[in-house]
Amino acid sequence: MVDFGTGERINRFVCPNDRQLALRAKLNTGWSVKTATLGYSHKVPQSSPLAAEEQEAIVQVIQRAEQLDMSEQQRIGKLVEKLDSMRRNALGKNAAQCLLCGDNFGILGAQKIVCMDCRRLACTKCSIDTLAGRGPRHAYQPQSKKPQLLVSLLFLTKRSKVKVKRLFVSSTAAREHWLCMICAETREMWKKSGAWFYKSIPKYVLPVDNSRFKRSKSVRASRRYKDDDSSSDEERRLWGRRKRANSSTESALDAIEQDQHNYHNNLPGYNYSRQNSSGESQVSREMDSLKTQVSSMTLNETKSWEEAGSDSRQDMEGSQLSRRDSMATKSLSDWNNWSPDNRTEDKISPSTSSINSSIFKTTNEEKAIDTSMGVIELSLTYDQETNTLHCTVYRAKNLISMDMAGLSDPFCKLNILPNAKMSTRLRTKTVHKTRNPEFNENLTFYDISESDLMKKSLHILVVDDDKYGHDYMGETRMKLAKLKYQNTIYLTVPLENLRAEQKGPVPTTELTEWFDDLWSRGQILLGLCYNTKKRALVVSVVRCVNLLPMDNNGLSDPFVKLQLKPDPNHKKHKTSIKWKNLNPVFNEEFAFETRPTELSTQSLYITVYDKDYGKSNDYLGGLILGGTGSKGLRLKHWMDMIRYPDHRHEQWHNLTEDILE
Amino acid sequence: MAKTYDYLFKLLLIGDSGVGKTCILFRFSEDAFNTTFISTIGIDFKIRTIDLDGKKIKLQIWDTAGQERFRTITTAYYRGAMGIMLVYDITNEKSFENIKNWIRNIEENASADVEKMLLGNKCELEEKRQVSKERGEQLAIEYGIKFIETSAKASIRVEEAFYTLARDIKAKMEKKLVSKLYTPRGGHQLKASELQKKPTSWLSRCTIL
Repeated sequence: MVDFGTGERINRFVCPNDRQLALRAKLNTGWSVKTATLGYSHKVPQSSPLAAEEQEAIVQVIQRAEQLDMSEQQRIGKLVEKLDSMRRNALGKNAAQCLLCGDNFGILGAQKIVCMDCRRLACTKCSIDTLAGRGPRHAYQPQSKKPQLLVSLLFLTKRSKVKVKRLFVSSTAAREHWLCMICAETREMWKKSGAWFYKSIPKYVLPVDNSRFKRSKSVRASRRYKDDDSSSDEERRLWGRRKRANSSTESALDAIEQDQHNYHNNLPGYNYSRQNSSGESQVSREMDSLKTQVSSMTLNETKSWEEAGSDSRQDMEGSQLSRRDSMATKSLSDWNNWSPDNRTEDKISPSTSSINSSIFKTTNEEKAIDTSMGVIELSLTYDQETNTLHCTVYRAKNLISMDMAGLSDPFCKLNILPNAKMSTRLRTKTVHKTRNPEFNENLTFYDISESDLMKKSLHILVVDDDKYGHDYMGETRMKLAKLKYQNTIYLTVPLENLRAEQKGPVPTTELTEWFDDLWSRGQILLGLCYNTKKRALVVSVVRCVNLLPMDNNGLSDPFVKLQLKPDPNHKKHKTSIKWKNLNPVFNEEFAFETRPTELSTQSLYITVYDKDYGKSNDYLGGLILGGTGSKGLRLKHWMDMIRYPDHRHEQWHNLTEDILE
Repeated sequence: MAKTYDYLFKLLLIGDSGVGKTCILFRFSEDAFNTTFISTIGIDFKIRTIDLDGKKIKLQIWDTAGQERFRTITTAYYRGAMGIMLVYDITNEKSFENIKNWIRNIEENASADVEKMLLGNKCELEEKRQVSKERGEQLAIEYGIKFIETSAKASIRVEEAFYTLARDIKAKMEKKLVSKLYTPRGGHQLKASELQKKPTSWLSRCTIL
């Protein structure tokens, strides 16, 4: 077993002695077996950075996972669409009719039941008995329901031994367990999408008829179907590959290339596969030429980068924010950080490298690239005399929309990675209310040496400007090595969505640094649920993190105020005060009576205060959900709440320092 | 459309290096076994769709490297996992002792709702056994999780383990939806009274002011 333990029994809190340390240094095993397994690994400097082929293997796994994720998103999109169409097609107009099919209730007509979720009336044909459905239940065939009901009635009579009169009572009691088809479908969707686990509907892609992207999508789809039904042959190949990887690294690389080749050649749509595989080989050539630089990198640098990464990771773990991040994307972003040098990753990952190759070669591959996130045009100029890098951002096109009007307020953040210093971060101005912003801005990075060029890459992040934090609109990364041979390059780069599942505004490790200044007011975890029975919006204030300290003791005494505006009842709610706490856990629920139709015009005002005696309370931060001003994730949260009543939607939000009235 | 499925469950295998995580997964997904030891590079996953109570459940099973140097990347996958299998080697005392560290790792990194399960692998090597079945059971009881002794090599109870975990997750899911719908009712009353109280107190204060 590859257990590097020295075999000695060491108390986990005892520091190993010098001899042991020396031994472990020789074996490259870290501090001790105990600490190694305690989960403190992030504090332990990694003994050896990952080899190129290891990175490649991991990147491939991540990509495989991404494909699966994508198909899952499309599947959820279909479920959402199905549910929506079901709602749209509901025929019932009043209480005398079935909600779904519109049949009139009556002795001769449809039998009426009350849905236990939405409390509306439906006929037995358009609903399901949940008690009968406990066991193995197949699809919702309405005809199968009646016998089940009879069975349950018989069962009830036998057990309780009641007269026929009583039977009716119990049968209506049994009707308490009926669900209308819409609510049943909603429940089913909640299960199928994994929302039950992640506590809100995961990101989904609605099935669209966009001819522009059809091509790439269908390719992706076919790729994933292939993936779907076989772990088998592909896995076997992977297995084989790994065996070979063990025996010799050279052949492993070949095998991977071969693998990719096979992979694409297996695709339907020969055109695409051919283009792609040729692109891949170009990439691999590029890879070889740059391999030398990778090895020239000093270990020192690797460590500092890793440490920076792991520190911020730790922070994030501490606050436990991105609970719902899906595995794949989280790992991808993590991987970015954790990878000893991002440049190798650029070279290796086919997704990024195909983009790079299209940039520098402008081949006809471009149509295979997903431009759904939009493109950005810029030029880079390197001045060797002054060691400066001039970056001119001209414009972006077809960015994703963020607000209800289908527009965004984008700006770009530019950074040289790795070694993100404050001084290397620059931003453009914000261009308001557009998806095709013209920036025309020149940004200059100073103190960029030629060796830096070889090692570093430029990271461009497009974000939506908003006072509650800046929503992610895509990013791209390009290595600067090209500038060494060519002083100026003009680029049109498609933006990538590397954080497709970045649900909370909480940034991934790397972004944390970017947003430090903006998110100084902390975050709040809110649950929204429209309760159709009570006809009320139930707001749960779960917890806050990273609040500002306002008192002399370096802490605050926070509480949260809630108000719905406009609200005819003029109701205001307040949580209890959590004394001396910057990360208070409230877990309190409040209800606002309102109609679902009004919700779309109403906004929820959330304000966090620090309780003070003898003087006015200090303002800690605020947030408005809903209404017309909401964008990005806040809009999604509000709309989800309206669209899926009776389900609790949890989401993290940033607090703003603006005082809300 | 290729294979359709009803639910997607994400599972994760963790445990010390060499306990047989990859082999268990290989046995489950391919029904095969490989005697040569190949250390997993970072992470990997396999997919198998199973049938449970008439529902098709797609299992995406993440296999993690036990080696410490991959720890950063493997812990990143804890959070999205709905079920985690803790694997130890019954012929390796140390791997069993480390289970509690792995559990601690889960507590730190995984979602609180995650379903856990303890697997003692390599149970075909009875003559080399270092950890008795009772100790495994004891530990599982301690943490309130299920325990199964498996053998990837001899194909003993591997299927059972995955089916059990999937069934537990499914049960949890059903329970969650039901409790969500029933508790609002039970808790509803409570909340209603609470809410009635609150507005009145607020209103009374308001009238005084």
